[in-house]
Amino acid sequence: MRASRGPAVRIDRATRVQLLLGIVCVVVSIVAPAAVGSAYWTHNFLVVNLFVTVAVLQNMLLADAGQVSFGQGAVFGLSAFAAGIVSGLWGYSYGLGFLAGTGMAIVLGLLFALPALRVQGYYLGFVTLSAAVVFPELIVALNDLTNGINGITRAVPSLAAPIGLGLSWIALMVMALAAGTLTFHAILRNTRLGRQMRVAAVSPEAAATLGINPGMLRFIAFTIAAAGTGLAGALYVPVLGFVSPYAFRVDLSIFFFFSVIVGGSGQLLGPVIGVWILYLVPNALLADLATYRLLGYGLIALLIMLALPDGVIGSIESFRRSRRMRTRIPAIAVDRVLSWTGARPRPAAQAAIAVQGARKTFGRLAALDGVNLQVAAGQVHGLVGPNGSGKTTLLNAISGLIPLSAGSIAINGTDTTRAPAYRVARLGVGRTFQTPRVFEDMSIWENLEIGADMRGGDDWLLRMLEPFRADWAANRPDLLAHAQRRVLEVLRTVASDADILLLDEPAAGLSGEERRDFARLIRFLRDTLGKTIVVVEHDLALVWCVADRITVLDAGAIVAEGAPREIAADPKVRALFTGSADA
Amino acid sequence: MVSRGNLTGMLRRAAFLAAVLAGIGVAALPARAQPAPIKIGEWLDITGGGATAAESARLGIDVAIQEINASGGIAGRKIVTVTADTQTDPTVGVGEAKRLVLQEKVDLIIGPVISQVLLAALPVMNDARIAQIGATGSELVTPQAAPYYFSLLINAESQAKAVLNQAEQVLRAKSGALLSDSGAQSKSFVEAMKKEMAGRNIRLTGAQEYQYRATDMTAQILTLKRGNPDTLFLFASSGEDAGNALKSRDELGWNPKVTGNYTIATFADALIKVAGKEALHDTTGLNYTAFTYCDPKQLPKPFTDFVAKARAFDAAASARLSMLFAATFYDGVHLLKEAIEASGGKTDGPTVAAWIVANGRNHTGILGSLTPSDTSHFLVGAEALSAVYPERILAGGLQQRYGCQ
Amino acid sequence: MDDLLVIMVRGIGAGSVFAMLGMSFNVVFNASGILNFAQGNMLVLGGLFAFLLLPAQPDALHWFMFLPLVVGLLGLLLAVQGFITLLPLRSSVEQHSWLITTLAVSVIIGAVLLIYQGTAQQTVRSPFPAIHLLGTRVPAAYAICAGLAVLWYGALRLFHTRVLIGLAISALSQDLDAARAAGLRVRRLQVTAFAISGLIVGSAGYAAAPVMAIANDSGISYVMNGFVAAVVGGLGSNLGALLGGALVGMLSFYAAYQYGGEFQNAVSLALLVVVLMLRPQGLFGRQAARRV
Repeated sequence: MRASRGPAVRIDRATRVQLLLGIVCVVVSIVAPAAVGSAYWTHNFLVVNLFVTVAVLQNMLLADAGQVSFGQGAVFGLSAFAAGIVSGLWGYSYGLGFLAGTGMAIVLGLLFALPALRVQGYYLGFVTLSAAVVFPELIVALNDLTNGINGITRAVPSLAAPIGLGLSWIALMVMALAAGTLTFHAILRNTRLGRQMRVAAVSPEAAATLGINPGMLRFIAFTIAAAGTGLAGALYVPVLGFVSPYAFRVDLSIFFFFSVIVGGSGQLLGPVIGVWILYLVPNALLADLATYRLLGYGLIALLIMLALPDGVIGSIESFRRSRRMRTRIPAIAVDRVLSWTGARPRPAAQAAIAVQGARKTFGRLAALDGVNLQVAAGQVHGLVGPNGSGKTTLLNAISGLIPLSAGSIAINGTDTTRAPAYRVARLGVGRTFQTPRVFEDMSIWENLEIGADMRGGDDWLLRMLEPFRADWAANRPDLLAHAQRRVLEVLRTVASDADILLLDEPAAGLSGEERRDFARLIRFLRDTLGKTIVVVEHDLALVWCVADRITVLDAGAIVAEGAPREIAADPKVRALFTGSADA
Repeated sequence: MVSRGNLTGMLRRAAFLAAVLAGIGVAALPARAQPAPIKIGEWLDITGGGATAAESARLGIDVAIQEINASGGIAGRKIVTVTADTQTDPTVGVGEAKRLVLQEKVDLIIGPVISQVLLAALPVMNDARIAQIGATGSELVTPQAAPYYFSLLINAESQAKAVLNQAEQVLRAKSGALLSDSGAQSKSFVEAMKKEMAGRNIRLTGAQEYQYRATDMTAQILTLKRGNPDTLFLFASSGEDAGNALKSRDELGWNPKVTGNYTIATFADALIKVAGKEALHDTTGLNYTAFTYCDPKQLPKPFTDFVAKARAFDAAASARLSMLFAATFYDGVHLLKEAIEASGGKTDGPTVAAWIVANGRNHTGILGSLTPSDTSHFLVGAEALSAVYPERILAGGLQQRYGCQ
Repeated sequence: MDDLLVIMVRGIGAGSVFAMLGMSFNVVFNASGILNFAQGNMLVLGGLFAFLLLPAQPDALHWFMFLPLVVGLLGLLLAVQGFITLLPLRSSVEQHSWLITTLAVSVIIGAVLLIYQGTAQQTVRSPFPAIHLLGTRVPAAYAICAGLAVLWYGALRLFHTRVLIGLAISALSQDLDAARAAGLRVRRLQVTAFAISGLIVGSAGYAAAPVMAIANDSGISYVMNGFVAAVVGGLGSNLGALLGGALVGMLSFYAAYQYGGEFQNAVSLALLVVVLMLRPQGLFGRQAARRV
């Protein structure tokens, strides 16, 4: 993965430690049995490390991309079968079979991504599970192509022959694949792509407002997982020397998923430990117990989940984090941002947002009923009105999160009526939400970075905040006070270099002092940075003191529009807010 | 059925795993014991699709080993066993094969009952030149592919021949329909049946499948009924499945003659439990002639003796499992014993295999004369089979041959 | 035509078992967001208890006598399982641990059955005579299961709309946090929901015993079909499960009859995929699929 900025990707410490341990596990488990000359353990650990590879990618798919797949065993099996058919039945070289296997796996990965555009969560799990159930039956049914139940024998002696220290080429390849996949996962998490995946997994809506296309990321995630799983599947052929539909039953797919959860979902080392426990304990340690093996397997899985609900590594990690003493709670330093004096080009004086005849109906209810709105560039535009008047619906429509029933929207002169949210965001529209969309699983710094990930140019904001980087990168946003979370969200949209900021009730829940700071921030954004800002707010006092123009909505229609002073004098508006505010 | 030595085996492997975990590659494998007992690996499909057969097999093996040890062992060496479960999964099967052969260093292997598991592990077995007896049906397991392996199972082709002989020569059927489960053995059988029927004067009117453990096959049987066949060929993998198939036929009120395979006879007890004896009308199964009788006063003694031994060994398991399947494995262990003792105590694959091919015909166990050759390592062929009335069953599973009163 | 009618009747009978499984999933799912993967083996346990308690040739008196016992036993078992499953969950379902614990319980039941009875499949005889239909006999168990499924549907409807505990459990399905804030004892209600699912699945297993594979490895196919019934009908909707079960049963019988038994599995999975693609919330589902 290409780093998004700077010469090297910085991997956080916890991940570095886990990566190191993971690589040690992989290398030692392959080298030690070979050095000792135990063919049995050599074989077992080759299989284990192939499974580790698949489980690491399943972990990426589940924890980073948020995609539940119960069908990775089918991807693995398809690759093995394709490699077996091409190199075993058709008589081509193993190299060609290897490529065919990996290629077929990617094709199946893309097929898995299709339903992911439509359904998510466990529903997606059922769809992929169906594929895993049908896969071995299909292999048997396509007898003429696959050799069906008889399987395919294909040894690759040149890869299996020892080349020193008891190791063979195949052992080195498996080792490189497993260790490489772990490293890849560690790096991915700290790249722009990895961060965007995690954001899209937690909140597809918020991701879209950051210019991220969640569907595309699902495709990418499934493709990456399938490619790596395919490599492992293709290597299965020389490791086993035989491919049979019996080896790729639905149990295998479930096993991969289990390994991730038991090891600790989202933890780099998790899948390694999960596979070791779930494969080695029943198959190697309890092998003699025969009929009791299944009982042991069930009990181990049950007890681990009862004792360590976050999985083995996950629970260790959260224990470790809870033990760490906090000396200081990090703070978002607004003042430092406000001290920025760099010159920014003033935008052209045109309508940044133009909404014409916007209608949005939910069933029989019209949330927007013919709204016309013009927001001038470089101005702060307040949007006020009672609850249910359609303010947030209007913001959502401008952001592209919901389609209009009728009417049109243009951003900086570009028609965006039918554009999806991520495309609107890429036109320079940033967005905050009533409840701040702060990503808890990322550090405070990463929360800012995902904003900066959107832009191509100069990261003046991040450079400016560099002194805080170490502190913010080491802490999660759950430590931040409520007001600070709002500031963080606003700063994120600023970092994304959006020209137009849509702020949905940014002052809700802030104290008097915090509101005054917030007003300073908004003026700074307008005056120094030249941003266009739409503020939906209940706190009329705040709106009146920062807004250049105000639009008043009621029941989906515009009641009044004008400069703050005109609006305050409008009797219709006064009637609307009587008793509800201090306007 | 946890044998002794399990715990130590487990601890030893745990210790090894710990060593790897710590990154210290210490060879902790103890040397083989001094007066060298013969180590037999029970490499069986104890869980998964092959479990029913494997469980019966294990009983026969255990009875044989107890008996042989009580009378001084093989060529003076006691037998110890190591059990390995393939889980009916080739990936695990190969790992377990390597454990038995390379780690436990077993002298002989018994099992498996699933061809795919065997095929996957053949390189391991061939490299180690291990003498092996199992019960697999695939014809891919030729003497070239597996020179030291013998199968106790009647292969699909032989079963198809025997089933068709019965239909054609005894029932005078002109057409038949095929009903089988979707398992691997059944698929080979269906293939063999189609091939064999093409060369005979029997028309195939339809073929249907059901899932293993299905309880209602009426939809399948109604399809086959449309073809109006003279006989219904039934190939089941478990007695319960066969029972449910016959029960479905009965409930539909359709009464074609049923010509069943080996399962219909071997697992007749389970079949009757499901369907009742009355559902077995007009039904024949196939059995090893050695497990059949004609006159109830003249029973094959080797088999009845075995049943008595098995009951003494484990009455509960004997009541539940297929005695016939157990008996074949019992015989298999004895065959290995004969071969080793006749070869001056040598246990290596080439010696044992050569002896079995040369002397199988003179075998005098339960199965009687065996028919291995240089071109086929199936110990039993079509000629050793008889059609039987599955419901005319005596204690232990002896069945009356078709045509006897 | 006659053939088709026979198949449809039997399909509905077999599908009623899936329908009851589907409803038992729903009860737990609505209260906790958990899908209990052990439900298939719990059904098998219901059948096993019928096998253990009933004499070889049972009469109706015995059958009715042991019915409440088995139903109660399964209710108790599921309550215990529910308690264990809920232990590691801090609040609702932000983790995947329930997936493992429910599947682990399923594996354990299967393993215990394997140790207890090997791979044998137990058989239970029905005390009731078969029903005659167009010259064929249809096992009485099918009719009993169909009746039970409808009965349970009605009972659950009353329970969720008329009974205080039922109303409280419904509240959990609407909004867990609000229910907790309103002072409902969420954990206790969730365990109750598990117990009720046990009553459903216990009665289903007991009634279906004569037409069921009571074996160590047959739970998985029941759980799959029950899931398909529930998801096709719409997770959370008992009407959906009732009709979904019948649909799955009829479709799989029809596929076996028309296209061959090898398609029996594939067709219900295909149904699942098609429904999820076209109507992710299921035929009668309320909430959007992506919210789960």
